[in-house]
Amino acid sequence: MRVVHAGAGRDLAVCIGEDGARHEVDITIVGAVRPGEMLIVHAGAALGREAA
Amino acid sequence: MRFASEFRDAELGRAVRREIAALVRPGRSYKLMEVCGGHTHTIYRYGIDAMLPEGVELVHGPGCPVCVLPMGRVDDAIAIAEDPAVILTCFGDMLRVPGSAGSLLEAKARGADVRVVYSPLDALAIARATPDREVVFLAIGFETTAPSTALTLRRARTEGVGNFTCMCNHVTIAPPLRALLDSPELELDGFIGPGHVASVIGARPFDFITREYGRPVVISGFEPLDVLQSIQMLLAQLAQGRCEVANQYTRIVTWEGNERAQEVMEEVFSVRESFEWRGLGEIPHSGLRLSDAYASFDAELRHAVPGRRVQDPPACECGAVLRGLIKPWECRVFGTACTPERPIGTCMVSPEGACAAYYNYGRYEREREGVPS
Repeated sequence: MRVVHAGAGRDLAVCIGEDGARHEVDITIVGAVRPGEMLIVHAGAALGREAA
Repeated sequence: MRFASEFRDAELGRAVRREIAALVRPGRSYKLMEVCGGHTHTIYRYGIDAMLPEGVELVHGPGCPVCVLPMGRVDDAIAIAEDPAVILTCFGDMLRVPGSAGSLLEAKARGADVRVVYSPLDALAIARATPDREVVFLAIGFETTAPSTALTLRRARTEGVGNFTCMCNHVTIAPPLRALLDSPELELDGFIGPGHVASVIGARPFDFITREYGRPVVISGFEPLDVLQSIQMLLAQLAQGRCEVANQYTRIVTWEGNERAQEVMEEVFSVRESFEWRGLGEIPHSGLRLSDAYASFDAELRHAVPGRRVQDPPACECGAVLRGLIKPWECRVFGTACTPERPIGTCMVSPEGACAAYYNYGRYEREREGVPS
C-alpha cells in the first residue's frame, strides 16, 4: 500500500491500496513513514517497506 | 502500479518458462507444493499451471487461513455473535464459512450483530465508539496477520478499552508442513514457501524441511513472475542435487525475519498445546492463544462457547484438497452443490482457497480442453 498521510498519530498512517481504498494502518513495526512510500501491509499492520 | 507490473511481464514469463522446460528431465515427474493460498490464487489467475511442462505438477498446500478453520470454531464464533450484548467483527472472508448449523452471514440475517472489518484496528474503533457493547474480533490467519492482532491488543490494553476482546484462531505454518511431510499419503519434491509468512518469521524456520526431510524450499513472492522463478529455482536445485532454503522474495524476506513483529507476537500470544485443522486434524503446537498477560482480552474466557469438534459434511472433500491429495475439480460437489455463492466447504469460500481460485479462473481452461469441471 502507498502512504498518503503519515501524520495520523499514535503510530498510524493512512494508506491507499491497489483497489483505491484508503485505510488506517498501524506503523508501529516499521517506524516513521513518508507520503509516497510503499509498505507491505497485512490486516492493517505495516510489516515492512517495499525495497526501492 | 510500481512493483506489480514488472512482475507480470509476459515476455519475461515465457523466458522463465523456457528455463523451466530445460530443467525437466524427460520421463520424470515433479510434485511441488505451493504452501500459501495467495500462491494458489496467482497460479490459477495467471494460468501458471497451464504454462508448465508435462510432468511438473503443483499441489495446493494448507496455507489458506479461512480454509483450515474447522467447523467447530465457526460454531463457537456464531455462539458468541448470538449474544445480544456482542458485536462480532471479522474479515469478509469469514462470513460465508459454514459451521455445523449455518454461517455467520446466516446468524447476521437472524439478527446477530456481525460486522465486517478491514483490520482489527477497525474493530477496536468500534469498541471505542460503543462502550455499552462487547466487541469481539474474530482473529484468523498465519504469522502474517497475527502481528496486526497483537499490535491492536497491545493498543487496547494501553488505552484501557475494556469492552474489546479477541477470539484467537491464529495458526503457525511450520507444524502443518511437518504433519504433511510425516504423512505417507503424499510424496512431494519441493516447496514453494510462503513469502508473506516468511517476511515475519524469516526463511530460517523452513530449514527443517531441507535438513530433516531432504526437500528443497524456495520462499516466493506472489506475482506471476515470482512464482515462475520459484519453480525454476526449485527445479534447478533438483537437477543439481542441491537441497536448500532459497529466497526468491529477497525484496521482502530476510533469513531472520521481522524482529519487531516477532517481539509483539511473543508478548501477546502463547502457543497452544494443540489446535484442530480442517482436513489435517489436531496438530500439536500449531495454534496461538492469548498469553496470560492478555487473558482479560480473550473472548473465549469471557463468553461461553460450545467448543465442540464437528465432522465435515460427508460430501465435502476439502480435507483431501488441503492435504494435496485431490484437485478441486475431483471433489464430487465442486461447481455443482458447492459454489462460491453457496459453499459447502471452506476451500470454496476464500479467494485464496484452491476450490474458489480454480472455480473463478481454472475451470474455463479445463472446459476448453474437454475435461468435465
